[in-house]
Amino acid sequence: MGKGFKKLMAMAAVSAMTLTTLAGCGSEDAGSVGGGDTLKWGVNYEQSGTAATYGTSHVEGIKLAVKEINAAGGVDVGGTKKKIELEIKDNKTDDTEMPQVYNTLVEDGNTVILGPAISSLTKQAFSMAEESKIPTISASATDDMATFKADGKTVQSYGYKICYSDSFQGNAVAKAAMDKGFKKVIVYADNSSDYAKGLTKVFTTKFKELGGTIVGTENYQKGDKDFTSILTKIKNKDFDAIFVPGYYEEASQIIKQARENGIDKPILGPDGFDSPKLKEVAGAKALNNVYFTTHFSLKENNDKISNFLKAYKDEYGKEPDTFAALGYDLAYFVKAATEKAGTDDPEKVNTAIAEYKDFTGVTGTFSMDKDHTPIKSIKLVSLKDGEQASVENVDVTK
Amino acid sequence: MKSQFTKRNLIWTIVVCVIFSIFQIAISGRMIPNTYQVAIITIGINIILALGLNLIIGFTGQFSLGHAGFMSIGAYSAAIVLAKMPNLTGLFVGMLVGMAITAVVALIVAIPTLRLRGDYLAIATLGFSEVIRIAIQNMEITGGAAGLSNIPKLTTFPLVFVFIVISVIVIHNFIRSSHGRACISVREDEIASESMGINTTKYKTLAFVIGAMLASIAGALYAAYFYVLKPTTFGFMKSIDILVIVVFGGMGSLSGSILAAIVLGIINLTLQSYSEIRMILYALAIIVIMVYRPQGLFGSKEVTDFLPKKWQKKKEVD
Amino acid sequence: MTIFLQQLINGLSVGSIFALIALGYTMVYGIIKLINFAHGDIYMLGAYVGFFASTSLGLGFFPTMLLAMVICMVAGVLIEKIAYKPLRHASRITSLITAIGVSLFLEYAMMYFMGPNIRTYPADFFPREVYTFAGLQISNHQILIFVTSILLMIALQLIVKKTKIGKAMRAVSTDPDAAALMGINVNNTISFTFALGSALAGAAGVMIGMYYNSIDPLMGMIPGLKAFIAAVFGGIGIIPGAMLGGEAIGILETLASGYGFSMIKDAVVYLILIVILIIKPSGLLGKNVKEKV
Repeated sequence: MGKGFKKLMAMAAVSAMTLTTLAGCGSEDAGSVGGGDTLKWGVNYEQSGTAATYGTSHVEGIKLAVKEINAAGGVDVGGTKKKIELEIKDNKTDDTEMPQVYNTLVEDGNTVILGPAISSLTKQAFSMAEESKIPTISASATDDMATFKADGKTVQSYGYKICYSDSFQGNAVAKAAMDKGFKKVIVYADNSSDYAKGLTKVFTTKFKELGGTIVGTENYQKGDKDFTSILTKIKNKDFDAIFVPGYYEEASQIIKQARENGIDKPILGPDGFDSPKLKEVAGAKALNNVYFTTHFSLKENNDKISNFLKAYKDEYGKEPDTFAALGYDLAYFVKAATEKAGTDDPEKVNTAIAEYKDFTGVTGTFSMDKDHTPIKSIKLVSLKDGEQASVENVDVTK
Repeated sequence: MKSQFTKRNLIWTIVVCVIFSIFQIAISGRMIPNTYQVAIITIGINIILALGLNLIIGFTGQFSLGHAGFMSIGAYSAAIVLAKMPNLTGLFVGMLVGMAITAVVALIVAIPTLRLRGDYLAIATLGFSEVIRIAIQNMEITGGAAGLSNIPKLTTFPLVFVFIVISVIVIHNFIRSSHGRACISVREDEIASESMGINTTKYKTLAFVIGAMLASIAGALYAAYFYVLKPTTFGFMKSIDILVIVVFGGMGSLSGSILAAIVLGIINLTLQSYSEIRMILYALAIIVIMVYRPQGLFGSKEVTDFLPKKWQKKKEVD
Repeated sequence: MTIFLQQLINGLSVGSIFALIALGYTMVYGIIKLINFAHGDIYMLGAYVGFFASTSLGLGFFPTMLLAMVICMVAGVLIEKIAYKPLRHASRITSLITAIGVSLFLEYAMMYFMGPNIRTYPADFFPREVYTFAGLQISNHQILIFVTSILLMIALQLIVKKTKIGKAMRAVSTDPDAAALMGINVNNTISFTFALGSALAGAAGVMIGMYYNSIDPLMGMIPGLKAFIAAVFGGIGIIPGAMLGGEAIGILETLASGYGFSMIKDAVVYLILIVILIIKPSGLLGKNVKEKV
């Protein structure tokens, strides 16, 4: 008796199956897409789950842009004007759901995929883009390694982002802190996200390089509500500012509880701070002496932004946040690349995106570099009584 | 010694080969769109997870809520090895490494917890699973909170199918052996079993470790299919997902687990766009099933028990 | 030393919330030996009722808390009647799975109706003031939470020890069949227990909404689990045990956080559970009861 013989049988069966497999192996070829009367774009965003506010903002920006483009006749594709048809799906901020969403969008014949918003899902989407050969662009995946393959050096063939990277952002915050005279900083970082950990590392290195001192490093976890123990601990230390790399959900609590515990010193943050929820949770009074880097600010005065603000307000009855602005620019960018390619064939559009220079949108002007990342400027916003009081460009090169 | 080349075994082999061939031809012939392929692989992985958990909960009566923890160990081990050896050999090596680590961790978990009663055992295993997750979240080699990405996609339907077959064979034989009967006696009445001279601790641990290792294999297959791994994927909800499958199918029925995994997988696919409603229905279904049919689809019967008498295996007399 | 004391004060507030929730777990477990997985979600329900009451109805703190307690009481009793009563004689595993089902149902139903994002209580709900003494800071919120919890616990102890229904609760926990034979209406007693526990959880929910200002549908999961661990730690089925356990877990967690172990503070709580289950499963205040064959 014994498992031995039964396993032998199983192995015989398995060999038979293996033969069938090898016989049936065929390569998957990309079906022909594009060439219809409309441009089909897939929208793959986090509209529920933990990154929901970022995703929904992006989608609102994209929809507004597409509405404007279609109203003006559409996109000029090699001489013919074609309107854009969006297929919008929710990936639920879930790495088991996202592949399904992505596959559906590809199967439905979309020639470009916009999104996701967060870095981890973006990396997943870019890996899938290698197979699907459909250009996939994220407007907010700031992770440094997002556009790279496993070796960290080869760039993903069909993956791009139109926002700066975290290392760029971390450097900028460090520079901004020094420029403002904050020489001693405490870092209070989200230990449960790659975004925050990356920022912490870069900030710490650059800040020390510029001559600053890191007085202490503390950690919190996503989902934490109570920060008083750490805030109590650091309160009496000698520091000029606190850097809080993380997302608005916890950051808003940290700012609130810091102010409640008598810490009035400046608090610095990355683009994760940029959300209306910051004011909602922390309250306007707490949002003084708060600075954060971001992609877009309404305080910046130019025509593009004023027009965008008006259109967004008319459409949605509220002011756009940084992620809506990024979504808006993403849609216009894809339009520009398509027009440059002269066709909606994914391969040609892919090349056009990779080589695009000097696109101007509401989040600034940029060109795509060889790492499929834009060379772009970064803005520092300051808050006073809960509102944006000033915005300046941070020049990291000086 | 009885020959294994019985008519019954041959029939099973043919059935398995036929099922396999149908799916494989459909997939290579590109008759099945990618979305369904993802669903098929996911269902396959869930089957392996459910079989392992069923061994622990259904056959041995140990209510473990920590299955996701073992899955994550397998997944991360495979991913880390694959980073150095991005090919099928790497996957197998990763699997073996994962199974080894899982076995050790399962032993560590088993020793203090398996002496606890039903509901306490559940919470303790849940606690351990969370500790594993937090540990992974704080280690450099696993990428910490960021997890790992760019994992080569090596899992294919044949691979998953082979492991399902292996799992079924292993568990089926285990259950029919004296070890398996010992486990069942532990489930039925632990005190009576102990007084009959059965080393209940040994068998509880054995079932627990085997179940954990199967979860580890499933985890490795998962890692090599979804490109990325994050510690949050393997939280409490994942353990509950698998528990629901085992409960629906019937605790103590292998065919029940397989069928339940398939049915729930199909339901998930169809309700994909309505995720909150899906979860609400899921939750209601759990409550309804527990109240009205706690034995699930098959109770502790197998699908073969429904065949006409003459096809059923004659009971052996030992 | 001041920092340690400050951390203690912070820990006591968090601990009081855990204690309130733990009381519900311990009472229900004591009477029907069920880990009511959905209890953490009753706490969440309380927080949302408070949100609704304070924003849409514009009620003040005490009316809001009262309303939340009442609604949670009703919810708790309903859940018991629909999902747990039919399974009173079923295996523990079956009841536990059902409890998980109820928990998921509450979470996702709330998510469906209120959206998954955080909601905030009005800024003027209970204006915060901070008092300083001896270098320590304590806010009126913290005092409120601590005092309310103590008062509720005292009230609970009085009900259990001094009233007839309390005696009935104790009788049913000891031996349901004997209690029934003595003429006690077991069903009503159990419902009453659920009502009490749920009311406490509801109150805790409102206070947390006030304290942290943000609530979300999944806010009950982890605190619920930790509160259960607290109940076990203090001695499951023993009311002062739940209070003790809750405060202990709150303080331990805060200290762990404050002294540099914030990354693993959750793990610390789970490890406490495992240790106590190994060393003294009946908990700090529990008596060792050997299982008779």
